[in-house]
Amino acid sequence: MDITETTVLFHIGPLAISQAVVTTWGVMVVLLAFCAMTTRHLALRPGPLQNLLEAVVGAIEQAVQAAAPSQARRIMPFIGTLWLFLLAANLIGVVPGLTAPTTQLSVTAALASLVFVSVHWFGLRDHGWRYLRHYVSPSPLFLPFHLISEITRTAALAVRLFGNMMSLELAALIILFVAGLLVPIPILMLHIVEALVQAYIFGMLALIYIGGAVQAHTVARENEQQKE
Amino acid sequence: MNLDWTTYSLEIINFLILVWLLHRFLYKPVLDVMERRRSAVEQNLAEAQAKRTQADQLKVQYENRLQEWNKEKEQARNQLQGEIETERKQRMRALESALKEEQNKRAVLEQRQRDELQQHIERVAIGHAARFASRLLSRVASPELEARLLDMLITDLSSLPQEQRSALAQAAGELATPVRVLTAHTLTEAQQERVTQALNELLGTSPHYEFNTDYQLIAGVRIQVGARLIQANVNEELRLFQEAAQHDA
Repeated sequence: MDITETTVLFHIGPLAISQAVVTTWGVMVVLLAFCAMTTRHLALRPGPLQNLLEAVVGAIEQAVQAAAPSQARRIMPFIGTLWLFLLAANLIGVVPGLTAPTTQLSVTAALASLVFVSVHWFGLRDHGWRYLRHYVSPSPLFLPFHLISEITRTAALAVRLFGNMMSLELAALIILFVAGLLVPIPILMLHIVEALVQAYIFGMLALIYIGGAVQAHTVARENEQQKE
Repeated sequence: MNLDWTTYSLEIINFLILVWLLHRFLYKPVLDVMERRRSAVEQNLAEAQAKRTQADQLKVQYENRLQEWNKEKEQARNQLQGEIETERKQRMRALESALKEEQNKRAVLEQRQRDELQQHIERVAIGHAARFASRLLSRVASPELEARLLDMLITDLSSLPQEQRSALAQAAGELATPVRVLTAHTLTEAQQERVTQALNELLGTSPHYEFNTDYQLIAGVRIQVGARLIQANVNEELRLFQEAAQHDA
């Protein structure tokens, strides 16, 4: 059994729908249903569930606000969705019979690619084409290093999440084969902790990259003003 | 480990759709309600601040008004005290005046009472003196005294004014009863003759005479001619003396 292989469940025309895609759809439906039900009757005097939602959304907003104060409201949906989706997607592997979509490199690569695109999207949107000047800062000689850095950090983002989640699943399978049913609960706890940590790391790194892109031009301009 | 481009593409699309859906159904409503609550709290704080400012202004206003009230109260109290003092002085003056008037009345009344008491005492003293004199004269009265009084009467009758003589003569002319002659002691015939003769001469006629005695006269004689009396006795003299003394008192 190769857990890294893509398992195609069915086809829609020419598209081969894999198990990761179907699981992702399931996660989307669960998240959407939960959000639609809980946000239907929001009130100024919140109940316990609304308090939980507001605490989660408030924490995400504060984190984004700290990293990119000027674009917090625009960046927040993307970063928040990354955290919530990765949390749900990582934790769904705990359910017997289901596999976390993040154990597929295609999924983590897609998310990393979205982070890569988002970094430049928000940078260009905030500063225009002047955003690209930071690639030749402090010297045009640094351009190749900047490009390599962009590519490698995106690849690292994808591979880190994929590697950790895939190895966790693999280790769990190996331990299950070796130790039988003696250690499922510790492995389950390790799975939950790892899912939380990896979701947090991926989302936080994405936030730092985007925040860096948004704030880079501002910092460069402040440095120039200080030199003047 | 391979990269499935279909999964890769579908995951990108799925994630973008999920971003939109969560933005639509989670972030926006929750952030909106948080913003509404924040606005409501800020509005409440602003209202509270405004009310506090208004309360401070009202407090200052009320304090100023209270100070003004205190000043007005103090002024009113001073004015009232002044009016009370004026009224008190007026009433004191009126009271002093009334008191002085009452004292004057009292003094007059006391003086009157003293005068009345003195008059009463004088009258009592005169009464006592008259009784004393009457008792004393009663003890010293005698036929000799009566004879002297009779002599004095006969002498006085001869020197009566003409008017009284005429009045007595007229009374004697109208007599229906005898002329009564009262004496304290019984007259002798000679004395009765002298009296009869003097009266006949005075009256110009000779009426019938009736001689009686009355010891209350002490000494002397009383002659009744009709409605007129001719008296020369101690009792009558004492009575006249007592009346004159009481009149003078």
